[in-house]
Amino acid sequence: MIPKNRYHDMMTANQAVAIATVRAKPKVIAAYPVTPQTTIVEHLACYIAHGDLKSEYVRVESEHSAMSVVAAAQGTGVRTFTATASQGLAYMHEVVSACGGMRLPIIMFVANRTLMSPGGIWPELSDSMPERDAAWLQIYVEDNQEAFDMILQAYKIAEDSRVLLPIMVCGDGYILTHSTEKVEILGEKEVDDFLPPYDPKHVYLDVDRPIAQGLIVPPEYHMEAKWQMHQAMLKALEVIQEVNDDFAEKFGRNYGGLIEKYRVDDAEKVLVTIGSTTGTAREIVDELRDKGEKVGLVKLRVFRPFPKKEIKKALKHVQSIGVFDRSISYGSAGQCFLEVRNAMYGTDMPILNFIAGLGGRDVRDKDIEFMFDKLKETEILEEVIDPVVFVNTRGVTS
Amino acid sequence: MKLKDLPDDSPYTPGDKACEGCMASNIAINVMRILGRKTIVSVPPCCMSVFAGIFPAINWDVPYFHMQFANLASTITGISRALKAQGKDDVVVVGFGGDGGTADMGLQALSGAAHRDENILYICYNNEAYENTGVQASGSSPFGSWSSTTPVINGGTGNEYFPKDIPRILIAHNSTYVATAATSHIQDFINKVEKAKNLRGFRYIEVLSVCPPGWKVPTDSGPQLVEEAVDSGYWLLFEYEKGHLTINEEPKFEGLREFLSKQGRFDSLTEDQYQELETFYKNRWKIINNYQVNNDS
Ligand SMILES: Cc1ncc(C[n+]2csc(CCOP(=O)(O)OP(=O)(O)O)c2C)c(N)n1
Ligand SMILES: [Mg+2]
Repeated sequence: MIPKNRYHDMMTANQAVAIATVRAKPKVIAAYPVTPQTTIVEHLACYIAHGDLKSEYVRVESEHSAMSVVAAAQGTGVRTFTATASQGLAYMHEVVSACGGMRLPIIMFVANRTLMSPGGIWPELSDSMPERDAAWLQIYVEDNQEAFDMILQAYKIAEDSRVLLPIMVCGDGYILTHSTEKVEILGEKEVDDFLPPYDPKHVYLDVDRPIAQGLIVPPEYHMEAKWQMHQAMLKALEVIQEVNDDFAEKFGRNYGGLIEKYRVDDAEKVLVTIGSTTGTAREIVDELRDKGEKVGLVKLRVFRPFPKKEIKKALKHVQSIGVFDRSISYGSAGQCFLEVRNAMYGTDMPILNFIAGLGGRDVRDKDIEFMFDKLKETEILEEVIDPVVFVNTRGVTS
Repeated sequence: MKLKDLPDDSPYTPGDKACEGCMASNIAINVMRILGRKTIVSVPPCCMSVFAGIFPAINWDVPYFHMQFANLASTITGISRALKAQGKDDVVVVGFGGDGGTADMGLQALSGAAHRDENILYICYNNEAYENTGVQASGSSPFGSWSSTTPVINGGTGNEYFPKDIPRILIAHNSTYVATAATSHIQDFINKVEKAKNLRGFRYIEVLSVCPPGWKVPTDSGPQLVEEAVDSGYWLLFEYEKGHLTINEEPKFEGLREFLSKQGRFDSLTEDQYQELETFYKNRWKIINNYQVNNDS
């Protein structure tokens, strides 16, 4: 049984996500195992069996069906949850793409894992990054506490009338999903106050008020629907910030909203990070600061919608930027890098792209140091021949 | 419900864009007359999603959810589970799917839903090909039939495979209710839809659906062809409920050759192919009849 009151415990991100889900009280959950997500749906099965949560728990036969079940259930007017990773996310892609246009505020946790090939079960963002164009919000978390907190915030953001879009909360496989940290679990009552029961006001299936969802829409009506989806994404920028601030006021944890700035204001060289690697990078920033180096860090928390303005505002005064990516768009560059460089359009500082940690390769202290060293070597834009640097890669940079 | 008591009003409204003589449209109208307005409908990509589900002029006067090709069964599962969670237990959740979506890529989700005995009604209108995309052979197309991907040019002999038997696959799941129906036997059709409406659990009805352009037949020939399909043993009428199979109409095994010869899609059928077809349908009858014979053993 999960205690009803606020408590602290040691747990993995997967357990934290499962408990956050219990607190959020979705009425339909679709469950299908895939490493490293599996323990989330295992935990949920046990919580439901214990009576911690009353929910339709559907043990589907595939991720394609998992997403279909939650999409249709959400479309019938109930709060839903599912979780996946890697091949599972790729397998459900077709259905994932349908949810945004139907304006279904589904919440899904993605335990980031590499997508084959080469195969592997270890962390990489090559599963969620291809979904960045699927009209889902994407939030990337750094640690287990943030995983817990962001599941709750995600429901509030997604269900806001100004947004009504699904959200993927993404966390690095193993590094978070299978590592134990202290997590503060908020109490049931205070979560209910923050996130009241779901009350659908918009489009949902109801025999007393017939409406249609997911229709085929011909060219003469199509663009407007998609424009609205884009507008909702842009609106989400302000809703995410509001929910962050509300959460911070109620529970005392402030993640900064769209991005987190760490020792950036007087920094000359800044590393932009995503996911769990931020923790390592923060330590290195402190070490280099102790040596007198003016370095800082920006953590990307929200990848969709992309906080262009906030990035530019945070970084326009710096000399150079390095962007860490745990994934790459082959033949181009890392996805975070492309977004950051786009955000910095109009400035002429060097921006480098550090590809690291692919397929779960450790991103070590000295890899972060290597990134800052590279930034030191690159003072002006003209010195950047190829911005894409594979870090700690045999035969390339080691 | 007797045929004469069937309400005129159907939540599937007139004015759809189906081809002339399309039987799928007719099936939808009549199923919905029986199910009534406390119904939620889902249709995957197929002819029906196009002729009745293009914004803004749709023909469903009940809540309607359009999803994807492979997930009709899991989509209606999601609707059904959400209704259950909301305590709404008097709403029928029905999916109308084509044979291609049902027998091919939708089979996985269908199997899952049958296995879990989801509280859903799945109506497959079987026109025996991927008609919406322009008549390509599907997993339920008949042996020897022409389609745009089984051409009969340059020595080609049409579809080289026999159709999958979805009702039998679902019987193998011990499904709550599995039936086949035909518009020619309308009282039997009404009985089955009405029974399925009132049952709880996984229910599947497969209805033969003549497609004039796909079958290359005149647009007014559908009703007659369906009757011949039943008489000739090409289409069997049976229902399976709680482990019990009942044959509703004994085939006369008459007129298979005439039935096939009326359809342009069988124009290239050779005598050898015909013999194979005849054997196939006789065997199929034996298999289904054996279920009935063995009901209580
Ligand atoms: C994943 C996917 N692949 C292919 C299609 C293209 N497609 C749309 S309808 C259809 C054929 C449907 O055949 P069937 O289910 O028999 O219904 P019918 O068109 O005959 O009514 C196909 C192949 C699709 N919509 N989705
Ligand atoms: Mg078909």
